[in-house]
Amino acid sequence: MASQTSSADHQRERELVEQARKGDSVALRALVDQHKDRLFAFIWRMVRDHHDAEDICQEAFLKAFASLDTFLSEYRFSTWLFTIGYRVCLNQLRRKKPVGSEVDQAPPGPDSSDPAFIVTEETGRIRDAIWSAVDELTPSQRATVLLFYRQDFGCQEIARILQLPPATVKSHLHRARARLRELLAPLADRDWSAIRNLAERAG
Amino acid sequence: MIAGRTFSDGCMMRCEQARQLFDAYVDRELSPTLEAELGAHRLRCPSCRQELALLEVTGHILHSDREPRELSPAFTDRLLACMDEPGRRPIARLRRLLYVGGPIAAAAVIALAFLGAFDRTRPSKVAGHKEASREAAIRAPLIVAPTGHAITADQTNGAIRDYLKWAEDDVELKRRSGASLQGMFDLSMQQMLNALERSPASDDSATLDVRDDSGVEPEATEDPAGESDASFDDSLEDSLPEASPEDPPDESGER
Repeated sequence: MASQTSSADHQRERELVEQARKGDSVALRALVDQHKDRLFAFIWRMVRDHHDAEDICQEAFLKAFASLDTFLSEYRFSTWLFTIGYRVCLNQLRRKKPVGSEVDQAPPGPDSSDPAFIVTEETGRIRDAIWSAVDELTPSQRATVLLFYRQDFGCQEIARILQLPPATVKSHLHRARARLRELLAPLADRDWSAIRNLAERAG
Repeated sequence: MIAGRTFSDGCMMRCEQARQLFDAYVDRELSPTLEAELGAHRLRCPSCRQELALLEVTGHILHSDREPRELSPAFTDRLLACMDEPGRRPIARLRRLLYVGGPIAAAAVIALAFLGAFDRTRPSKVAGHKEASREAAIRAPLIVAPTGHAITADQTNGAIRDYLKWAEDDVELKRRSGASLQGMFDLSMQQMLNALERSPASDDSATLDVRDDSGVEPEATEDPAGESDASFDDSLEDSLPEASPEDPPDESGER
């Protein structure tokens, strides 16, 4: 059932892309509106600068639309868009300081779509520590983690976006998790009871 | 699904063996038998219990945390407006050029000042416009890069000459930039900066430092097995990745 839905979505997307290729502004707008928030979320987490993230998003869309003639509709448009966005991100990261030096801070406030994660001082500290640890990952590890956990891409699609073999994506994910465990170990000692409670709710 | 051998045949799972299975465990890819064995180990071993709990909480927060930032509401309109004007670069792009700081911003300001003095639609006439060139030469020493280095007239004139030569001669450049002067300016920004470095006047002390001054080196690969990061490459932005026909798409979303 899920694959039928996915296939129908893909067919609708192909039609949109085809219309956009002919310059249909309604189709272009629909494609932007479908993907802009996801792409921005990913890119902002990569560069942690709002203005840069918007610029990169814009550039990624412009490049994607400019290359619609060569886009193979067997692929998902989102995969193509994220591929371009990631590469523009890499160039931006190369030009700028590493993430973590001067970055937008995540504002306090509602932090989880899961009501079980009630905001307390401890859970807030755990959240902050986890996101800070993600910032410590290498760009490819960070991209892998964000695409896997936040964007729900599978390893095959992540491999296409990062232009890496799927086995390497698995390896990045494995290393990223190991690094996160290492970085968060002091937190686990200090806030163990809160982590245990959260893990029980998550499970 | 990872089946593998079990550890119940006389020996209990050790921590190092358990750790090998953590990824598959949290991704629900273990066979029921191995999952049960790891679950049993987890109950016995405080260290693995803690590590697994941390991994699960991390995954859950990464998946379910709300996004703290949102795109500007006008993003779609701005983007589509950019597309309606062929050859016009997005405002955001220009803003970035000006904000990016350091020598790149200085170079952009200089270049825009010069371009503003010219008839943008007729670059062939600009090439021979002596008054404009002289005006540019006069203005140039007044512009001081944030790094503290004045930019000499010879350097700027050299850059202008090179730029106009590209604009006239480089058919490929024209094609890729939609033949607009603004587009060529954008596309050839790096070439202009390179030209400033190559300028004959750069042998005096007042050179424009056009190198990336962020101090950021491309990330060293940490992967001795050759599982390297996608390499940083100046040409990346201009050479879009092509969907490879020999890599047949499988959009099933399998993990």
